[in-house]
Amino acid sequence: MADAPAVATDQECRTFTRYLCGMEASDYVLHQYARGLASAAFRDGPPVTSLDLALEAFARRGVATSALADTWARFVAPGGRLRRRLVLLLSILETGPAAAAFEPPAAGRARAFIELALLAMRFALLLPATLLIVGPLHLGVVLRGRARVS
Amino acid sequence: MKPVVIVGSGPSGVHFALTLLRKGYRVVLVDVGYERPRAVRPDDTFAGLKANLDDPSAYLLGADFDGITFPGAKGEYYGVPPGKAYVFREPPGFGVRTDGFAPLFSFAQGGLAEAWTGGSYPFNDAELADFPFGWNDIRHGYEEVAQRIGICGEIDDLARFMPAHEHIMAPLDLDLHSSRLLERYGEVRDRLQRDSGCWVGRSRIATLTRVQDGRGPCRYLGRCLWGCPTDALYLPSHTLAECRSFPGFAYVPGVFVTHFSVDASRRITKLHGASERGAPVDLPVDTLVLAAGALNSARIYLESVYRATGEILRLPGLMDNQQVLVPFLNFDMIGVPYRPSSYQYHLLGMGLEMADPREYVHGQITTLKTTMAHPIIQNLPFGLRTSRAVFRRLRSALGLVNVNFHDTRRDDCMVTLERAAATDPCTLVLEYRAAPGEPARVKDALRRVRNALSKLHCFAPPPMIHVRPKGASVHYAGLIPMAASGTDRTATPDCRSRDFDNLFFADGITFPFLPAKNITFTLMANAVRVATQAF
Repeated sequence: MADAPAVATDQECRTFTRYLCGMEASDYVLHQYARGLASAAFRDGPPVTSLDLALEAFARRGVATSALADTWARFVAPGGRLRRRLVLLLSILETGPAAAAFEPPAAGRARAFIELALLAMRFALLLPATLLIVGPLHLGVVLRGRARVS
Repeated sequence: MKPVVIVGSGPSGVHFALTLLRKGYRVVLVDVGYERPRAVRPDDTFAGLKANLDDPSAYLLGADFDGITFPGAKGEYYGVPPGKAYVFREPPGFGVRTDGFAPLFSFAQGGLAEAWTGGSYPFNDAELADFPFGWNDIRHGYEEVAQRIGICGEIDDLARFMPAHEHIMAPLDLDLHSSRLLERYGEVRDRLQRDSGCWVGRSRIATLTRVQDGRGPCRYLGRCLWGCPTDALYLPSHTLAECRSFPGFAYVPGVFVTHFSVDASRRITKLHGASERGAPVDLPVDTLVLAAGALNSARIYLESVYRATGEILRLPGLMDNQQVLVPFLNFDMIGVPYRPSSYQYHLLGMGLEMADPREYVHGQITTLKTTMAHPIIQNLPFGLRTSRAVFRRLRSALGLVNVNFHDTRRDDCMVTLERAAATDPCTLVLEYRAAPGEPARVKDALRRVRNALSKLHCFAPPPMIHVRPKGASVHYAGLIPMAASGTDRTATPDCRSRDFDNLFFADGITFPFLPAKNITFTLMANAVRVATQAF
């Protein structure tokens, strides 16, 4: 029987894979992700902050919260651990398991522009939602940090 | 006849060696010599590798995931693939401290050029003005090297900035994006030249388009960055293999050369180094050629002087090309189909004319074909899911201009050694300061590049422009300059040391000026010139 941290890592990988590529993580992806998290290349990052921990916990809840936490992290903590986890998984996915998700779709010029416009609109909606939902989470982390200091 | 001892198997060393061997000399080539791994599934395309390898992640990202570009990589859009890790492996006993400089070193068979992108641009007379010879004196060297390694390209608009020479074979097939860029250039050529002082043409590249000396032509597998599996892209290790077919050639790998020793008349008598396990290695020397790369040759030279005199010298004049990466989006290519099976590196070049021709700015235009996408995706201004979706739809339309700037020798850019205690090994110390006026010069050139790109229907977003750290171009030069006359710590026009009579330099250490061009072709041509004239 798998131990609890391994199960949690698998669950995290499944959630993040659905978020990044809209597909289920294969056993190969689960295995590589766990190996990647244990690698020196991943661990050799900046010190982990309480914001990193809060964003990771929030992101693990599901695809929607992953999107919100990642969008916030892109601007507030681009080199933080959540982004490092997601980039690790993204790089594993593009080596083969989800290679098609990185290739241009067979679309004409007009369709490409329409799809890009839709992506821009979706992002325009995501931004205020991120501000409303993850902003207070970030503020809470800051205030808790201050309370601990005082 | 005693053999000539050469240190280093980079482009200079192997072409120096081959020239001497063909003249009947005996040659001993001493090297650390980390070896290139064998090509994996040489018939597969890049997409084929992903589909057919049992563990594609191990090949493309590395067994320890070292090939991933994690966030915080300071704007680099690609990393060193695991298959090229051998190029940058460092031997025991090697130490370096830097200030304002981020160098790369290689101790591999073939040296840093094992990871080059093949750009082969001869220097013109203006760029050779500080050299003690002109184009006509080195032309034979360029043509000899072009014949040996195979260079493809065209004599087109860029010939304005780089002389034409013999032995240029037919160019590679253009990918669709490069082809469209060149077509558009044809439409706006006059305006681009008049308004931006910008010329565009085919890159001259050391990649075969026909069979030559047992190497096949490019098969458009899209695997250049991971190491050409068909040997169409030239590497110095190909010439090393040719040298090894001569009975008068001895290759001595596994030796990290530390210094040479001299007699009372300042003639070099012995070469000293250490094996991988730290055992001392000594070799007798009659004539020594340092070809370990400008920085490593400087290290050996400085350590030798220190051991002979107790004096730690300072060598001023360190040069390296400033490089700026300018990503762009070509509106004409949005929604256009994508063909990953194509040549992966740059197929086009861009030249910016300057009032002083020595300040020529050269750009290598690489359209995005096969690549690891995560370094680009993480730099887009969205969450990763949206960034991936946007990247996917723009992929066919993305490209990058790698803009190169010239460099000059200055006193505050230097190489020396430091030693904490008498028993400690010496540490190489590199210090570099940007030239006064360089930021303004770079800014002006980038404005012109962006302007030229806009006329080609391309947009270069300013936040994504990345000024690479000094040292990243790996075009190191300038520490013991060659000149018609000079004093200590200079070299004669045939690259003979003025300090040690039986010492020659074959690498960039003797270059008195560094144009905005990849120097590898000129390193090889100069090695041929010196080996032909001085021996």
